[in-house]
Amino acid sequence: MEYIQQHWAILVIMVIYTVFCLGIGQWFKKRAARSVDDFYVAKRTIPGWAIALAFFSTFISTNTYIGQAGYSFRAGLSWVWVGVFWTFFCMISWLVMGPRMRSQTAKLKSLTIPDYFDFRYKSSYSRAIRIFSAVIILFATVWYMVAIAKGCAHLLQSTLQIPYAWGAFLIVFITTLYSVMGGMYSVLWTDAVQGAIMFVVALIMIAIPFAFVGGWEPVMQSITYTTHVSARGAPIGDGLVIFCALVSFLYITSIGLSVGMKQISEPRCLIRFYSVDNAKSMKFAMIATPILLGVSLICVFSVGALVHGMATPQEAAYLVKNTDEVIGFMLAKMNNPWITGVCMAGLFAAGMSSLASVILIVGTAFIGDIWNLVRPLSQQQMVSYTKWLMWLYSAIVVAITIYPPAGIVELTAFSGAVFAAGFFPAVYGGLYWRWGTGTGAFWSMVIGIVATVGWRLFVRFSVPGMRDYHEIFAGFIVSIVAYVVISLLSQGDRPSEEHLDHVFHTNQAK
Amino acid sequence: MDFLTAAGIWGIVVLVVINTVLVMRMKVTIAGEEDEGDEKRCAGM
Repeated sequence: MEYIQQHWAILVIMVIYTVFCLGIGQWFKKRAARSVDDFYVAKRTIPGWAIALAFFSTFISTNTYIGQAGYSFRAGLSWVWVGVFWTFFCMISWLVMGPRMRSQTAKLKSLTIPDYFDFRYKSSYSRAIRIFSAVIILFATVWYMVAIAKGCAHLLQSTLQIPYAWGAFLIVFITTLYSVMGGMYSVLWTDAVQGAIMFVVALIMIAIPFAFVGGWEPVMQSITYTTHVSARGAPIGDGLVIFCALVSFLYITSIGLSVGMKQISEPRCLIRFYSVDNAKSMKFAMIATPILLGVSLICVFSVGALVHGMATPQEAAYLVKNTDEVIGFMLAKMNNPWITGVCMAGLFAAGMSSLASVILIVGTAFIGDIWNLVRPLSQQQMVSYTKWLMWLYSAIVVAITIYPPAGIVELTAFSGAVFAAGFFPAVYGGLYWRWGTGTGAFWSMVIGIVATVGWRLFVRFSVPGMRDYHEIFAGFIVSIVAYVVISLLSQGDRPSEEHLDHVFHTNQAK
Repeated sequence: MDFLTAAGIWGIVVLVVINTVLVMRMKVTIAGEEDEGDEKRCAGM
């Protein structure tokens, strides 16, 4: 009873939120079960505003709202520069990839990123690319899901005193349940609602330090010169507001590129383009998504630095070494159950929207791109098997989350680099370069991933002074060069001109 | 706040404005959309 009295506001908001997500899943249950096209890509019938919100909520996760937001406590306001990179890649994703991806995938009747490679390149390597890329998705995704489930479980533990293992189980179970019920329909519509909640929460988060301290002037005064100490123990002084006084620009660039580039290469982001209903919606989403992302990132990336205005020197000395606790500290210090409840809903929305997207991607990659190739399935079997696979994969994720390996955050960032190096040249080349071949796409994936892994194992942490040179740089450049050179050397592997005319929509223009 | 730190915040605003102007002036098309529309109408959607 005392527990309910203490947490009732947060519990009410969380219960409403959970019931709403499950309600959406139930609403779309019948429609999603009609065909593979419905379950995998929502029959390409989702309006632009919903896709914009869904793209935003899928790309941003709990890690951004807790980890990155807290990190600016240590790095100062210069940390906002990471947001510049992320916003830039959001623009590139929608301007360069969006419309073409939507057109080509509809023409090719593609339902997943791996089957796009197969249908677009139509070469002797097509099946190999499809299976290889599906395997990459299966292996790289598990770490990302574990990191999100771990973050959410810790959050439930610290705010509602739910044991860690139960928290991990609950968050994965609820997300998988509504994703399995409504397929891409429920994933996209819950993502859209979660995106709206996250946007509002970003605005609330930035307002908290100002409300607590008493307005703009006192907060800015307190961070312009502070007696708090940095992570190295030296006084920060004016470091919070001086460019790169507390963090190197190379490190900002590394995080900016390795995470930002996920928007142009990760299946969970690219698959969003498949479901846009028409050109008008596409145009709307091309404008709205960078606005949603940009405004949220300004708030989220600067809030940590502003929290210095709320902390005593002793509290700051602890937080600067434990930046993941900065947002929790801010909410506890504000001590308003309704604000905490709404922010908690936003943080869970950030985690669940990313989890739901990748659970579906994993299910479609294994059943649609591996099982169905080896042993062809009927439409109903594909939908049903995909659902079972989603449950199985989620169970594995929960098991790993309960006993997480060391360095899970690093593994997550690494999986982003693997996607950028492995997928980007094959996707971009497929969309824009008629001369791109399946041989080039396959070997660029292999070489890009080998370069990424090699740089990490033998250069970044072994050669002095290379720590801030993220593996994304090497992997990305090498895979693009490999795609261009090998494609030009393997022109015999090009699909027929009729096929290319169909893909590039050039037959009507002739 | 020094110029380059402020440039980070304003940089995001400028990027978003440039993107909006760029897309507003752009003719966004989805190749084959008419055929898809016909297919959806035929399917009674």
